[in-house]
Amino acid sequence: MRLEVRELTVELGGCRILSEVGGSAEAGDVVGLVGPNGAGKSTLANVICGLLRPARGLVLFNDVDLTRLDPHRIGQLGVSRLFQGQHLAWNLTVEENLLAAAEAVRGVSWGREIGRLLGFVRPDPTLSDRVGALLERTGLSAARCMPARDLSFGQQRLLALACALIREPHVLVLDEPFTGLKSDVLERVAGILREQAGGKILLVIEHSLGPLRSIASRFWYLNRGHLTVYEDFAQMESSALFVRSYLGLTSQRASSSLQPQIDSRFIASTQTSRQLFKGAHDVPTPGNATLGGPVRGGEPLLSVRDLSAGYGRNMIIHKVSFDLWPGEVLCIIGRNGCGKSTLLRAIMGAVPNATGSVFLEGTVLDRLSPDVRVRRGLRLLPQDARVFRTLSVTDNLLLSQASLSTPRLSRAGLPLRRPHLAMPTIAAGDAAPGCSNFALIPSNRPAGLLSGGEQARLALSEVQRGSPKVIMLDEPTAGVDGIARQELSQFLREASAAGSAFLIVEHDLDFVLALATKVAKLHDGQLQFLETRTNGALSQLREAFK
Amino acid sequence: MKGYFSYLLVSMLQLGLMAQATDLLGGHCGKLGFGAVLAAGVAGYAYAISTVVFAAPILWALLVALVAASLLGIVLSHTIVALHPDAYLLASFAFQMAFIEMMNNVDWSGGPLGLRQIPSSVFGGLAVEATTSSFLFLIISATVGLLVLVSGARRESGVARAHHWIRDDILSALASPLDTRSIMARACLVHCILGGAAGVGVVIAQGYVAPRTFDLGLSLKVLTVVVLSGVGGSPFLMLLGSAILVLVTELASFAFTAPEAVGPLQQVLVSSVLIGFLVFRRRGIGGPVLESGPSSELFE
Repeated sequence: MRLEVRELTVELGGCRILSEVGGSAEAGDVVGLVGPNGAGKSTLANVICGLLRPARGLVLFNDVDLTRLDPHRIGQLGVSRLFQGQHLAWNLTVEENLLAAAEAVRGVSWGREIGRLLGFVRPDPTLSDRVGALLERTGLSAARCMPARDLSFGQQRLLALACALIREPHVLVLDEPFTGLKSDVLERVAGILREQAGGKILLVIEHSLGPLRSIASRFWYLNRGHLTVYEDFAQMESSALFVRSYLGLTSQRASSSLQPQIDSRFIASTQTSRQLFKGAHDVPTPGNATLGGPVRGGEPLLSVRDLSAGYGRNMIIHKVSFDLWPGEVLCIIGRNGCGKSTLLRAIMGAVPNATGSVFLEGTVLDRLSPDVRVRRGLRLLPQDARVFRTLSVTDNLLLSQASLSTPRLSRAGLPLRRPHLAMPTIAAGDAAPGCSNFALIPSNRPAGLLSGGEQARLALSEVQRGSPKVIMLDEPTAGVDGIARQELSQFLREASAAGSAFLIVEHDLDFVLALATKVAKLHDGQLQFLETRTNGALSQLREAFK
Repeated sequence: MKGYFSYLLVSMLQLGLMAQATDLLGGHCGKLGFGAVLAAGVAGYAYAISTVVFAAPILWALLVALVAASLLGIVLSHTIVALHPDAYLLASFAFQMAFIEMMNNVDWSGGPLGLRQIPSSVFGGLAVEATTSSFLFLIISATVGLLVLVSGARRESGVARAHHWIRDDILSALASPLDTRSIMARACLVHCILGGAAGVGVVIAQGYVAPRTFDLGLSLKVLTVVVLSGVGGSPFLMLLGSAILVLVTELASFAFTAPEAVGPLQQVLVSSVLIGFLVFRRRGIGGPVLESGPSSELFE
């Protein structure tokens, strides 16, 4: 079994995404596909799966050219795909999703279903056993009858992986399988992938280098559409190209900082990613104070008092209270689906609060709409739907800036004060920290055509505009590359030193420990503050995360 | 079979069949539109023109109607595959308007007055009364339709699961690997044939056909039945929903003695039911809870 990419060139919207890319993998290979945001990783995966046609070049699977085939034909040949986002049959149950995925391989027909209804056709007797075994392996047996929409994020990723596996593929293309997963789910996913590695070809796109290193045998590094093949991780991490373009470091700094330090199963190999968050020149231990530190006295920037919120009658958070002072970085951890995002939305006013109040610099915000809260200095980077997909990069940036000065309207819809007639001038390359690579992106490209990581960077830059007082970030490191993480880390330091406060929901404990002044766990809808300044903090946090 | 009772039964079956066809595409595949009423009009006119203009035997006329509905299905399937759900809704509306205008303005369709004295017997030349004939025809159509739709709409069916996957997330359905184009095209074909069967039933029962028979008022009624029964629900619920709507509108006719007030009142009632259910109970009387996934925008 052999998968070969030969001189592949892809152009989208007049921009060359992949340039004469070539590489091959044999049965048993687990290839880690690494690269900065916008390098073309997902594009390469889309071409392999038939979702995009290349301008030139071939994708050969056992000498069959996949570039000429429709996606379902490629799937029937044994190429299976796990997408970056949550792509599932949202309203079907877990079991129905798996059945649908299994049936999709041989095709569905009305005739067979009518025959089955009339008793002429018998269902596949092995199918229910396969479904049961996969449910058991992924830990989804208890959720068998739950609709996919009601699962936690981690369970949805596991279900998507199970849907890819039930087709018994020969090639598995996985786009960021570890992103946003808490440690035990991450370990489970990595374990499943290790089991699958024998006899299959796995192509794994991932920014979390630790887990990737633990499963991948070879590495493909994509940078600005050009592919470099490395035979192992050591070769990649010592290459000047990787160090400069992915980590944003010099070789000397990288080699001094990429030593294994943490003795956890995955974190043993995640020193690289750990380094990314902190900056190569500054690797504090968990006990070190890395930020300017909170400035107490006067009033807190943000006060939340007895806040309860949820959807309809289903209350997700219960009487949450905390203060956030200037310069503080509060990281909230907790299992997938425990209500972290709901808490941020409730503070932002996007979810109505059932009880309690939110204060910004002593002013109650409860009756204010989210847009007014934004103009008062509160910002939220949501986990998804971060950009306007049909607007260009420049228009997204313009809109975020213009919205900060939009006047209130009277009840009759008339502006209460004269609106700004001139829109602010923003060049795409003029983006805020976290977006230094934007100069490389055509400013007129629709945001929907950017890669997932580029969209995350664009959203990050929008959130930072207009001197915010409190910035709430929901999974800010998901899908962003090393340089962007470094810049985000730098921005957090500078903004907190300047007096801004941060409320961050994040699954990556290294990021949490490197930057947070306070860590709290959300459990059963309530916040419990955790100790972060002792030597055993990481293991305690990991325990708290389970 | 004579009288008011048979009229009610025929109305329920007609509406129910069109609602089932609409829900197959709208509720199960995520492409709501006016295609069922359009197919009813095309097949109804094909039947009427075959029998009245060409004096074709009734079984031949039925075959012509089936072919006409299938051809429409092929045309619509290309539109469905190419368009976003919102755009398809508008496109099917435009198709229906164009069809009504065409039937109003060409000679062979009889213009605004339509075609009259359409033969009703469909059972080997037996002389049966029009309503009975229509009733029997619709019962057969509904039985076949239910068999097909239960295969394509019940949760235990592989076809239904494929439809739901396409509705919820077409990107992963494509890579799953479902042949989404072919599946949608086949669903559209079934949709048009069922709509066409209902249209022939309408024409047989009335004994005439005119452009206003298949106007937007009928489309509104069909959409109301779909919403009332529950979008993406069971085909049996569609029949129940149509029965409820027909009974409610008929009860309204007793409220006014003036005949000219009955029509407008029924229209207001249908609109009120549609808006009321959309606002206060999206699930209808027994439909499933449907939510858009985070990737729904990728339908674009």
